[in-house]
Amino acid sequence: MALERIWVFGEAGADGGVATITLEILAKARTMADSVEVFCGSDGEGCAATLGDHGVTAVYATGPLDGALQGVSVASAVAAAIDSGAVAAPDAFMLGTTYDGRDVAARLSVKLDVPVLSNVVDLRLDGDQIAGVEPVFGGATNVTSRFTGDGPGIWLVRPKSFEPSPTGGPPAEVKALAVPDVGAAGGAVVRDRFAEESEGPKLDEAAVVVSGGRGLGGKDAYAMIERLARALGAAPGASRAIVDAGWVPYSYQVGQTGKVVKPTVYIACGISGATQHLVGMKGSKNIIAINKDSEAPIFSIADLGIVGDVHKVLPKLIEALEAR
Amino acid sequence: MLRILCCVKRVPAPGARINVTADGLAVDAAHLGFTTSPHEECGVEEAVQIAERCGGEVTVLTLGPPEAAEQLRYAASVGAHRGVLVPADGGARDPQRTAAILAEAIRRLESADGAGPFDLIVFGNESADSGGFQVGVRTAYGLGRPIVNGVKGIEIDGPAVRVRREIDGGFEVYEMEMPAAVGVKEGINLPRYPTMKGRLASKRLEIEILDLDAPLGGQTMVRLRRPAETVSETAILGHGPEAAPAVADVLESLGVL
Repeated sequence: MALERIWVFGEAGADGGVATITLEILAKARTMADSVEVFCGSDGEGCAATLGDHGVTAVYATGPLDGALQGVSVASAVAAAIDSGAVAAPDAFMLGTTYDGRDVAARLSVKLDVPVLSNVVDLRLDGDQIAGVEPVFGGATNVTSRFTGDGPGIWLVRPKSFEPSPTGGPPAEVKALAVPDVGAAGGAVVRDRFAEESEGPKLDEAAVVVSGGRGLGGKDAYAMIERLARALGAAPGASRAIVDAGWVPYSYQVGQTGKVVKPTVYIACGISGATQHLVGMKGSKNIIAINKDSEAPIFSIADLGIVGDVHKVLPKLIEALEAR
Repeated sequence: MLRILCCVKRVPAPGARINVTADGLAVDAAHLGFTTSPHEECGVEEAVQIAERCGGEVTVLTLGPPEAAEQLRYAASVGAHRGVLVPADGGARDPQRTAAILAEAIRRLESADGAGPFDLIVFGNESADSGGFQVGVRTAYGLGRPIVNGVKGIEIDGPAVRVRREIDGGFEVYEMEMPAAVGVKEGINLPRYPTMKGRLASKRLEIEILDLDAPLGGQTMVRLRRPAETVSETAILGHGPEAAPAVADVLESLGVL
């Protein structure tokens, strides 16, 4: 039995179009409800065609928000629209586990006084209820949850849980979502915005990721990881251990409290494979591990392994790759 | 003098093998290590650094079993001045209830000594066990204070606080008048290790107990389950540097060269 209506939070991607995470959630939501609509804190006209192409019938848009926190404005606008009866509450809200998605979900949860289930990696219909699967304790345990109360639940879905699938539908109808007075929550005002300069592919989008761990022995040895990454057009990554040690910035961290990556090839160099790290990369299609300890846990999930000292293996591998 | 409050949660040590109790509704804590949630460890460090820089007092607040006193002592060992424990059983996965209790506890602490609101309340962005992203925001709304999440930098500027919020591919800088709240992310700093002096101070810390009760929220757990351990066959390509050409071959066959 399908639900009537699901609302999905629409996010903008880096290129200004609709973010991949939004398209991923739309693909799943469509299989669970008769109609899927989008709500967003931006201009609706620009994304109506793409959203329609992914099965969305209507997009509720606040228009550009200038200096306000998107979460504050969008959550207040959605709550006001529902409370005033202007829009009927959907059966569920779904958002991506992203910077803005999390913030919007948390504030929406407060404004509508409904709970949130976060970090969901799978969703299914259990009769007329949604059940979500969420890994907890760093992926060591899975929890299946559903909401028992009245009103819509809010689901935060992890990126790369579903595949986008266009339907070729007509452009979504654009509807206005008015932002009311947001009270004390509006006390945060943007003063500045800046982009981080980065070379090469982004860690969570790269087809190949080369990560280094404690086995490198020291900060200087990380240069080998960067060189190997350059030779492969890959993004360099790191385990939490060497981020904590200050060898590389936190933005390199792959794992539970870092980035979740699912590249075609993941090369783990001198990484023992703590659960905290495995959670962030176990979805990679091909995992290659280089570690001198043949008993290291990384070998329990790697497809291919080299038992050897990274200091000896990596220079040879870089040499072999640069020669081709 | 700035008054900073930092909220922390006692969680199973990340990465530990975690067993579920026979009824499938709780974590079997018999053989488990516990710690402060990583983002909150950074929260305590940040609060202490701000207090050292600008002059101030750091109070650490936690909700949990009596053993959560350990997390308060840890905070004291790295520089926090006060530790407050609100006894609570279960409810770990009910952020509405947790936030309601925290907001009430904060109101009591603020009215108790007539000192007025804490200038800054520091939350961890999310906990390591349930990762709900809820408690900070809910508590801040409950207290009627602005909050910015995903914070990777804090600067006190007179009556205002400026925070760097991480976004996709960059940062945004927000400004709030204090009293205000922040949710900080791991990476904002590198938490210090306790010194011997800190450890001694933590032993002497008088844990303040605040008894409260609050209604249940709307979230219940259906069941906990250990995922099947996926053990893949690792094909060992070779030992040492001689294996390098074989890896290059594999990468070529996968089409990533």
